[in-house]
Amino acid sequence: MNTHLLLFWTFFKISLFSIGGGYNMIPLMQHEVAARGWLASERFLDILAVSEITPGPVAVNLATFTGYQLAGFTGALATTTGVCLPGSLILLALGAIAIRLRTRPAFQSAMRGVMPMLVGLLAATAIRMAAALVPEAFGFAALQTLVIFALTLGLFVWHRLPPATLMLSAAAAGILGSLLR
Amino acid sequence: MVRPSLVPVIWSFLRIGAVAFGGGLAALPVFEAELVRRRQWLTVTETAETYAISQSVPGVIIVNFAVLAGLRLGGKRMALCAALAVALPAFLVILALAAWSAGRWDNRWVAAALSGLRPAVVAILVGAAIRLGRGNLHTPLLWLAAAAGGGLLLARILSPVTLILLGAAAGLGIHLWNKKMGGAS
Repeated sequence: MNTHLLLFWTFFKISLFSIGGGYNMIPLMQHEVAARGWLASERFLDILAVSEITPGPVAVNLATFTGYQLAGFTGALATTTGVCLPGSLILLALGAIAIRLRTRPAFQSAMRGVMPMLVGLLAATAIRMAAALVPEAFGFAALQTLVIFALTLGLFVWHRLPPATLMLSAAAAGILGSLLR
Repeated sequence: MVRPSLVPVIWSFLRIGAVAFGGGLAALPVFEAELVRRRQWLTVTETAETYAISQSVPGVIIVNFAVLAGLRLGGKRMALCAALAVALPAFLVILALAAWSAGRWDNRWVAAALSGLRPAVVAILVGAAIRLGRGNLHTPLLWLAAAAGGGLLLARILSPVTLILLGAAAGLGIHLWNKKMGGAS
């Protein structure tokens, strides 16, 4: 298949099967991108970090960056269109029906069934990504990684600080760490 | 309510797309500030309702929201323009950044910043799982299902799409079973 068509279709599929937006799309994206060998797991983390700091939907940021990395401007256009289309098409086609469907008990039951899968997928993807962080030896770099991980997790879960703030602090901590080393 | 014309709607959604950091989950206050307080096109209730619907449709929450709000404010053409406008700022910023970063990933300062960013991103993913779980999984059985789903993905037995479909089927199956039981009694 043509590269651009494949990019478009892959991101269309990712978007079509993700509900609730934002982080729920990340496991699907990581799975596809890794399975096709498009990006190293470290670079995926980097792009994810950039997406958290820049404005706009994380899904659009990830799609645009990945598309550009693989096939330049037209690649970015293909992935971004792919990721934006499924929801828009469904809403344009169904409109009021989609609105009524949401309140149906059957739909809500299906969503309740999806919830544990979303939690499991996010956790599993985090574990996969964490493999890219494991250092060769325990030293300053490993300590820095551990401290930043623990602090970010605590501040995000218990103090609900916005991801952008946490990311900027983590970047600053990384630069500070490199100066101290 | 006066129906707004196309240009101010496009302008508003460009603004929303440019300031909504972190995407859909953090965007409700941004929608309210622009569409309720500044423009008075929607009420707080309408905004919350539109937001809830845009979350239960596949895809990007902010784009879905723009389509629905556009449909409400002026029909299909406006919906399409609002969707394009809301995605455009992110697209352009990332394009510029991607073009700039090519070949700079190994720069000393970039590498230093990334050494801090990578563990933080993994922490946010773990945190997102914890927050989603605490908000939605109210019984040990649901946590067990989450662990099983995660395990099947890690073991490369099932893909994310399959797991999501299985989850939806299980939820629907339990619903139909309960309905049948309820009908019989």
